[in-house]
Amino acid sequence: MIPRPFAYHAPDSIGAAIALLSDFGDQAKLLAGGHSLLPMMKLRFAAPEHLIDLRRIKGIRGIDMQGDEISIGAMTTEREILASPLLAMHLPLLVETARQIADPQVRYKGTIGGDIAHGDPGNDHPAVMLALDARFVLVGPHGERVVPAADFFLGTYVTAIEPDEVMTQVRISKPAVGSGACYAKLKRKTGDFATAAAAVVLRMDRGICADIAIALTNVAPTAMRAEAAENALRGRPVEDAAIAEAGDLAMAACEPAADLRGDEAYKRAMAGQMVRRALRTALSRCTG
Amino acid sequence: MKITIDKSLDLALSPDLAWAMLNDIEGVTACLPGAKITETIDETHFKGTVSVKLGPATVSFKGNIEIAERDAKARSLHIIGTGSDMGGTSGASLDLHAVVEATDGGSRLSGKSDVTVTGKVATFGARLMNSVSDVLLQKFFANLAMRAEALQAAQPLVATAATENVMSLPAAPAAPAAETNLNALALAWAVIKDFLANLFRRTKAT
Amino acid sequence: MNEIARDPAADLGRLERLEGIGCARKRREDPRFIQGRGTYVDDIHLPGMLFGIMIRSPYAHARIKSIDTSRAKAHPGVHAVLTAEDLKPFKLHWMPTLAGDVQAVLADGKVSFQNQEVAFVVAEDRYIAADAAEMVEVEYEELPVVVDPFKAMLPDAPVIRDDLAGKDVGAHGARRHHNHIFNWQIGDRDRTDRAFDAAAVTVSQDMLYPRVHPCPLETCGCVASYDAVRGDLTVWITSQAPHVVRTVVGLLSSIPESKIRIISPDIGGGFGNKVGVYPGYVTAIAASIVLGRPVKWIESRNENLTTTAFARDYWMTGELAADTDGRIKALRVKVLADHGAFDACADPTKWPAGMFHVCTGSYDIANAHVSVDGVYTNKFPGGVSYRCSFRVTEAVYLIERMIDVLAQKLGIDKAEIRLRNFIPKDKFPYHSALGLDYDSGDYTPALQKVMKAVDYDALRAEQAAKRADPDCPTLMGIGITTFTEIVGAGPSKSCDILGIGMFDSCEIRVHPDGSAIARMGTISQGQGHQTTYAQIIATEAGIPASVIQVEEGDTSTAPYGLGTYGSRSTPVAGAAVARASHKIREKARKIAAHLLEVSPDDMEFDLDQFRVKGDPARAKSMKEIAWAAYNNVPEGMEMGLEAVDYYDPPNFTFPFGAYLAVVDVLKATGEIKVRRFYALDDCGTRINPMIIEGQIHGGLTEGFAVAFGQELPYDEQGNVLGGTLMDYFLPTAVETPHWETDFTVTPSPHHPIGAKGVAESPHVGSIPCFSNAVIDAFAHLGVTHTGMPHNAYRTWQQLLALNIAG
Repeated sequence: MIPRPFAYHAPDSIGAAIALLSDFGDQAKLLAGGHSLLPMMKLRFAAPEHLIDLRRIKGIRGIDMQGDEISIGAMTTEREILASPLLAMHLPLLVETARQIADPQVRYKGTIGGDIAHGDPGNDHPAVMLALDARFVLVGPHGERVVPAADFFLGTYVTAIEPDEVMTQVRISKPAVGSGACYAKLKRKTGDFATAAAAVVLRMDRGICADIAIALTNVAPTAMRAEAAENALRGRPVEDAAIAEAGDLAMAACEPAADLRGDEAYKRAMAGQMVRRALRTALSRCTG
Repeated sequence: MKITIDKSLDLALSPDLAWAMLNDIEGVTACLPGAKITETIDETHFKGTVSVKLGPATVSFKGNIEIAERDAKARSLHIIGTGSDMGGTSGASLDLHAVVEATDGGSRLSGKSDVTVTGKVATFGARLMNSVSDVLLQKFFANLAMRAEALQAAQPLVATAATENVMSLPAAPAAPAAETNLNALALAWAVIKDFLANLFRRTKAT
Repeated sequence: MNEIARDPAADLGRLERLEGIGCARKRREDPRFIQGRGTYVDDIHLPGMLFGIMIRSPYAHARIKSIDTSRAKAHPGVHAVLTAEDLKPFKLHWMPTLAGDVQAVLADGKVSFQNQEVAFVVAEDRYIAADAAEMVEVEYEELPVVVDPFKAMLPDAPVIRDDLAGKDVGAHGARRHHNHIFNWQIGDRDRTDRAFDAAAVTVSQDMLYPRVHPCPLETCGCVASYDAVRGDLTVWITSQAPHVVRTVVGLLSSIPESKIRIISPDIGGGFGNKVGVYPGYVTAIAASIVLGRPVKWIESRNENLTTTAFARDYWMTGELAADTDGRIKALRVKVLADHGAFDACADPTKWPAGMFHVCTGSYDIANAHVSVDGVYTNKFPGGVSYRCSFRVTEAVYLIERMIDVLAQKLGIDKAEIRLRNFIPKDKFPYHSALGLDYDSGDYTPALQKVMKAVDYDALRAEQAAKRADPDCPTLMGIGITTFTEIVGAGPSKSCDILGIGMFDSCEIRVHPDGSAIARMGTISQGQGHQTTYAQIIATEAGIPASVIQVEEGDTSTAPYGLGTYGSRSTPVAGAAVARASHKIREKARKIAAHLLEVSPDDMEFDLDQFRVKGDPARAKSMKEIAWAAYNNVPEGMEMGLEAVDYYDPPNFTFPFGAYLAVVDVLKATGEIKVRRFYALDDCGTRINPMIIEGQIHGGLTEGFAVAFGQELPYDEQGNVLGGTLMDYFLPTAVETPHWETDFTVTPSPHHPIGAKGVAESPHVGSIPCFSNAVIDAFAHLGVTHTGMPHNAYRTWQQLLALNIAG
C-alpha cells in the first residue's frame, strides 16, 4: 500500500498547473482531494511520475450565485457543499448528494471537481450533474471552454477533459421555482459506492409533470440519463402507475456490472427502486 | 475472475484471406491497443506484452503465447496465453478458440475465449478489468475490421447485412492506427459509441 | 457478644476508595488510548531498524518454477531478500502450527493459497521495501484450484499438500483422503441413532457458517531485535499469548527461553486473530538474527484480512429427534470443516473441533453424537478466531437454529419450545450427553425476564397482524437465542497448547507504602485488565485499586501464562489473581495478629483492614501491615508481602444468556432494519458492570456485522474477494442498532470469586439471534433456513424467489 515514487508540485496558479501538465504530458496527474487517485496509486494501479496538487490555486474554490446561475469552484470540498447555506436554500439536491458521499473524513478532502473529473461510474456527482444539465468550465493552454455534462462522461475513467486541461468550475442553473429534487442512494454501508442511485429533478405544473430529469449512478459504464423513463412521465400526472412505469423503463435502460453488491438482476431492480423512491420524494418536495 | 467473450466479425473477405489475416500473429497483435510481440521463439511460441492506460490507471502484462493447435483445413486456431503483470501481483491467462467460416458475403471470423485473472487486478481491480477489457475489445475489433478492409481493398466483395450477434463493418471514417492511449480517442468514441452500443451484451464477467 | 456498631457512611467511603468487585471503575488504560499515546508495535522505533515486506503469491495453487531476487537485491537500500532456500539451512522454511500440522514460512516449491508468503524483502525503510518487492521475479506454473470443501474430498481433487504425500495418519488420527485432515467424533452414536429411529418427529437442516474474519483495527506485526553481542533476542509482537510465542520461538531457533524476551505492548484488538505465529514473525526474526539489526514487519489491512486466522467456514448438518410436544430426545451433527491449505486452527491440542460439543446448548438432551471432518482447500489457514470461544459460535448457531427449525415444524412458539427443553436449575452441575459438566445455570428466569421486558406477546400479535396484511411493505421477524457458552480453557488434563497445560498465573508484590504491583500471564488487547484485575485484588486483599499497578505481556517479568483468548482471563487468570490475593491476605492476617499481639484466629478481615473479633477499635490497615512486612514480622516469617499463584482450573465455566431481536425486512430492497435488540447476560460475579456493558456492546456490534454483511467469498480461480474495508463490513455508528442490556447473576460454584467471563457471549449469542429473526420473518412462507450474511442482496433474492419482492 505504498505508491511508486513521484514528484510533487503545488503550483499557485492555473497557468502554472497547465504548464506543468503540458510539460509532463501523460506522466502527470492532477491532485484534488486525492481520495480517488491516491488509493489507485497505493495499489500501484496508477503511477504518475508527477502529481500536481491544485490546493494552492486561488479562485477555484467557493460557492457563488449570480441571478439564477450557481457557480461552484471545482476544488470546493463536499464538506463545504454540505455546510453551504446558499446551496441549502437554492440547490438542496446537491447538499443531499454530498451527505451521501463516502464518510465525514473523506468529505473534508473530496472535491466536487475531482468527483466529476475522475470518471468513476460509482461517483455520485455525475448523475446529479446530468440531471441538473450542469456545465463544466475547462481551462487549457488554448483558453477556456464550457462542456455540458451530457457531453462530458464518455466511458469508465474517460471524460472529455484533455490531458492538458484543468476543470475550474461547475455551473448550474437553479432549478425552476417549485421544482422538487431528490438523490436516492442504496448502499451496503457508510462509505460505499451506490448499489444503485437515482437523481431526480422534477417540475410540476398543476398536477402534470412539466419537466423531469432522471439520472442513474453506478448501473452503467458511466452515469446516465434514463431518457425513456423521462419521456414516459413528461406531460403526465405523477401517480403510482406512472412512477412504477418510470422505474421499469429505467431498469431496462441500465447495464449494471455484477459485483459483491449484487448481480445484474438485483442492481437493475434496485435502480428501479431508487428511481421510484427519488420520484416520490421529489414529488413531495414540489411546490408547483 | 473469469471473463468469457464470444464474438463474431463479418468480413467482406474470402475465407482464405481471412484465415491468412488471422494467422498473422504479429498483425493481429498490432490490432490490440498497447500490445506487441517482443520475441518469436518459433512458429507456435511467442512472447509479448500489453500495456493499457485507462484514466489514471495502467495495466501492463507480459507473457507467453502459444498456438496450441492450428487446423488449416478447418481454418481454426487454439491459442493459449499466460502472463503476469510487471510487479508480479497479478496473473492472467487466455484460452481462445478462433475459426473462420465461409459466408455468403465473404467470411465470418468467430472467437470464443476465456480470460481468467488472478491476484491484485482480480481482487481489487475487477471494475477496472471489466472496463479495460470492454474498451480493449472495442478497439481490437474495430482495428481488425479496418485491417480486413485494407486487405479487402485488393479483393472487393459484397457488403454483408448485420445479424444478431455479428458485427458488420462500420462505415468508418479513415481511422487512426491502433492507439495505446485510450483517452486520446475519447472524442472519436463519442461518435461511434452509439453504433457499437449493442456489441457487448455477450460479455460476461463471473 | 457485643453488637458491632457500624458506620454505613464510613463503610461506603472505604468501599468507594477500594474500587473493588462490582464497581463501575473508569478504565485506567483509556487516557492513553484516546489521546493517541498508546504504545503499539508500529510505535516501536529502534536505532538501525530495518523494514520487511512480504511478497505473496497471486495464485491460489501453483508450482514455483523459479525465483529471481537479483534485481531486488541490487536495488539501493535493500539488505536482504529471503526465500525458502535461505531459511532451509536453519530449518525455518516450515514451522509447526498449533493444530499439529506444519505451515510453510516461505513457499517451498509450491503455493497453496492466494497471498501465500513467497519471499521477504528487508530494506532501509518501507518505501524502498515496497519498490524492491516489485522487482522480485517469480515464475509460477498454475495448478488446478479447489475452493469447495466438498469438491476437495472427491477422489480426483487436486492434491494440495504434496508434503503430506503418503501420510495417512495426521495429528488427530487417520486421514482417509489426500485433502482430509481429521475426523473427530464425540457422543454415543448407537444410542443416538436408536433415539432417532424411535422418535415421533425428526428435523434436519443444512447450514453454512460462512468464512469471516475478526479484522482487528490494528493489523499483525512485530519488531524483532537480535543482539549478537549478548545473544539476546527481543521481539515486540502483536500476540495474545506472549509466553507461548517465546516457547515456540525457542523451539524454532534453538535459543534458550532465558535469552528470549517477547513483549506484547498495547494491542489494538486481538479477537483470536493474534494467537498464532505467522510467517512474517519468523522471517523478521530470522532476518534480524542474520543481519544483526532490528527488523520490523507490519502487515497491511488486505494482508491481515486474507492471510491471518480466519473464523468459521463450517458446513453443518443438524438433526433433532423429538416428541410431539417438542421435547428433544436426541441431537445428531455432521460437520465438514474447511481449514484452508494448512491446519493452523488455534485449538487446544486434544480438541480439533474446539468446544463444538457444547452444541447440546442450554437444553436437556439425553442423546447426542457429533462427527467433524476437517479438510484442506486452496484458501488461507485458520478456523478458530473472532470471539468464537473455540468453535462455540458454530455450536450455538447450530443448536439455536435447529430449535427454531423444530419449533416451526411442530408449530410451537419459539420461546415456549425453549422453556420446555431447558436444563432445570436443580440439575446443575449438569453432565451433558457430549461429556461436558456445566457448572451452573438458571435459564428459565433469564428468558422470562427478556420476554417481559419486550412484551413478547404484543410483538407476536403485531407480527400476526402484519402477516395478514398483503400491502405491508415489511416482513417482521422475532429472533430468540438462549445460549450457553463454555469458556475458561482449561483444565490441564484436557487442555494444552503445544503440550503446555492451560493454567494461568498471577504474582502480586505489595510495597512498603501499601501500594502494589501485580503481573499476570494473560494480555489485554482491549479487555481492560489493567482496570479489572486491580478490582479483584482490591476486594480480595483490601488494597485500593488505584494504587495497584497491573502489568502483562513482558515475558521477562510476567509469570508464565497461556494468554488471553476464549474469554479465559477472568475464569483462569482472574482465579489466580483472587488466590494470590488470598495468600497476601493470609500473610497479612498473621502480621496484623503479630502487631496486635493476638492469635491470627482472632483476626477478621474487614474491607481494607484486619480487626480483632469483638473489639473492632483494635485494627491494622493493609497499609500499616504492608509497612510492617518490611521490618516487623512474626518469628520465623520471611520479610516482604508477595504471593504467586498458578491456577489450573478444575473445569470450564459456562456463562449463558437470553437474547431477543426484532427485525423488519423491507420488501422493496431487501434491506433489514434491526428494530430492537435485548441482551440479557449471566456471567456470574460481575467485576466491572461498565466494562461488561462495553464488552456486550462490542460483541453485539460484531455479531450484527457477521450476520448482516461480513463475508470473504472465493471465486473459482481462488481469488479471495472482499479483502478490503471497501467491502468488508465494519459497522459505523450509522448502521449499528441500539443495544439494550440486562443481566442475572448465577455464580460459578468452582471459581474463587464465582466469575465466569463474558466477553465472547455477545458475539456467540447474537449471531444466531439475528439469523433466527430474519428467518422468522419468512417462516410463515415456509422458509426454514437462509444462510448468512443477511445482506440486502441475498435477502432480496429470497423475496424474489417467494414472489414478494418490491
